[in-house]
Amino acid sequence: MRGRKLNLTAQHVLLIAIAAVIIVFLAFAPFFLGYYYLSILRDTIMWAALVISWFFFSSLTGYISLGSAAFFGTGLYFTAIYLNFSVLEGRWPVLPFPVVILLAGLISFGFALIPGLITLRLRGIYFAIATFALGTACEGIFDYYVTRVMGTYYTLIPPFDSETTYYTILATALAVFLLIFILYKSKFGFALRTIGENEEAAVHLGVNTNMVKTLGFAISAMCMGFIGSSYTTVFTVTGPRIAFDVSYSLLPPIMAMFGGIGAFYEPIIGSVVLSLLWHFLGVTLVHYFLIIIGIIVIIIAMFMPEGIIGFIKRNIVKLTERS
Amino acid sequence: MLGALYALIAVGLNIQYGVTRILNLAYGELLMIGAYITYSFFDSYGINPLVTLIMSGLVASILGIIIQLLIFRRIISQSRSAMELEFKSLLACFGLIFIIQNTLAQTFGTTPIGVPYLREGIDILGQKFELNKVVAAAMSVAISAIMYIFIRFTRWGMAMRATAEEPTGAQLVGINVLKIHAISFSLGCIAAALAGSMLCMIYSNLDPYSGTRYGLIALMILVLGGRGSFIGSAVGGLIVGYTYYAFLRITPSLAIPAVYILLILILLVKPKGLFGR
Repeated sequence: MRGRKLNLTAQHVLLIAIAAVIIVFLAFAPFFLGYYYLSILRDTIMWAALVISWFFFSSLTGYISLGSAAFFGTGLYFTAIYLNFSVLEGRWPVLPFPVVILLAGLISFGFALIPGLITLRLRGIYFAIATFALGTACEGIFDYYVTRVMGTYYTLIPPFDSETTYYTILATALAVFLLIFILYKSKFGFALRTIGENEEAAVHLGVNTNMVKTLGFAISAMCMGFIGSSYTTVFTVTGPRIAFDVSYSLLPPIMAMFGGIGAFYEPIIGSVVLSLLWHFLGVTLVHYFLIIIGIIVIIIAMFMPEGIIGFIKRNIVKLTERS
Repeated sequence: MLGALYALIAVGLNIQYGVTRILNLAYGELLMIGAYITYSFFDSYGINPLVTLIMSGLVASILGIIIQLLIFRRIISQSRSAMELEFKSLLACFGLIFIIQNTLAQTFGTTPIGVPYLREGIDILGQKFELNKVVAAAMSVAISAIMYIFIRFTRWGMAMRATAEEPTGAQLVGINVLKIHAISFSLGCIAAALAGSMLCMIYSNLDPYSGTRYGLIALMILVLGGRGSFIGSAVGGLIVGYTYYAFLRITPSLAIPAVYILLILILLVKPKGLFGR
């Protein structure tokens, strides 16, 4: 910030105020929300953070990753195994939970580097498939480890009370938001965006595209690892099928594109709307609701390429111009 | 043995992607449609599963045309760049996945299904095979061969190849690209549904959600064999099918990781797939 003037406009102040109100609301939510609504809020926060991690890499660079589940699940399952070994069986030393989350994220980070280096040379669709397969491949590997080495398919996790769970996830999500927001506004985010606009031009401008892409991919994976790790507290028992569920791969792009991928806040709104709808309507009329979601998603793909936020904005502009 | 079936699955996907440039992520769900058609005809009317192949082929071809004309035509014509097309078609495919999976789950429930047919074993060259697998493999080879002949030697097939190579050029020489897109999409759907019907004969553990796994394998074969290469998909299907089953016998959980590692290794050497151009 040195040497640069901070020019705050009314819009900035408004945005900061809104963010502050939301954070205060989230921080005090357990005091006035019951268990059920708290769990919905907790899941919504988790999805929003997962979506923003996806958004940071995939929509900036245009490399569509369908492998969120691989990193989310790795974070989640590492934590599950760790808690099982340390707290329940006492084989490993018990570390403070934030350290565990940090470790899980770093594991996802390191793990993402290997496929990242190989698959990021592939353009477009090939990359999407390679990452999509990664999620299922990880499930298989963990499945093998858990059933062969640990002996049972399901892993027990020490129970957490709902407030601890909520605050763990909230704190992790906020940290992820902050980290990604800073990177998004930084030179690094700009480099990622130039790759999305025109990769060859980025090379000529002196961007080390391979390095930037791999690092961006790994950072996004790290954030997913953090979130997965914090989400472990929700379960008392988990298995590879649960941790690496396909929906963790498919829903982040859906939610992000539902809201729009033009600006930082659009995917967040998209994920919050979809996740809330999901929890309120999806529970009672599971299949019909999902069919409707499918139709909505197709309509968005066909008629609102900029997502609902962009669609609403465009139409407001049109209306105001007309009057 | 089942490599041939996987080859058929991959060939269908490759036709769709090669000609229309739309990566059909909902491909596995189309397989399940075929499987459920066979299941429901067998279950309620006792019709021979091999006869139901005709029905699932018919339904799938109509469905393919509808999907193409209703959804993807607009997406293709409205996309200004390849990246935009990818984003939009992925999103639309997610929508299709949700719709198909849940329609099946709503109508048939989520209990695993299967059609017990020709389960007895036979000896071929001293090795035991289940008869239904042999039949499925033979049918897959036959269907793939018919599709190959169709693409190679008929006028429509020629138009499809032209569209795949150069969409604008094809339009210039008077090919109705919209029609060709619809035909290729529907052809892919037919391959998927037929393969699905045959899967239903072999396994008894299919449910509305198991399509994703087969779709994923098909996608991996597509990448492995190379885009737009018929031979690539066939050979890739055989390789992947063999690897998958070899591991499925020893350690089922490592079957997909093994295929994935194979895919990564091949992509390291040949980034465009085995037969990619």
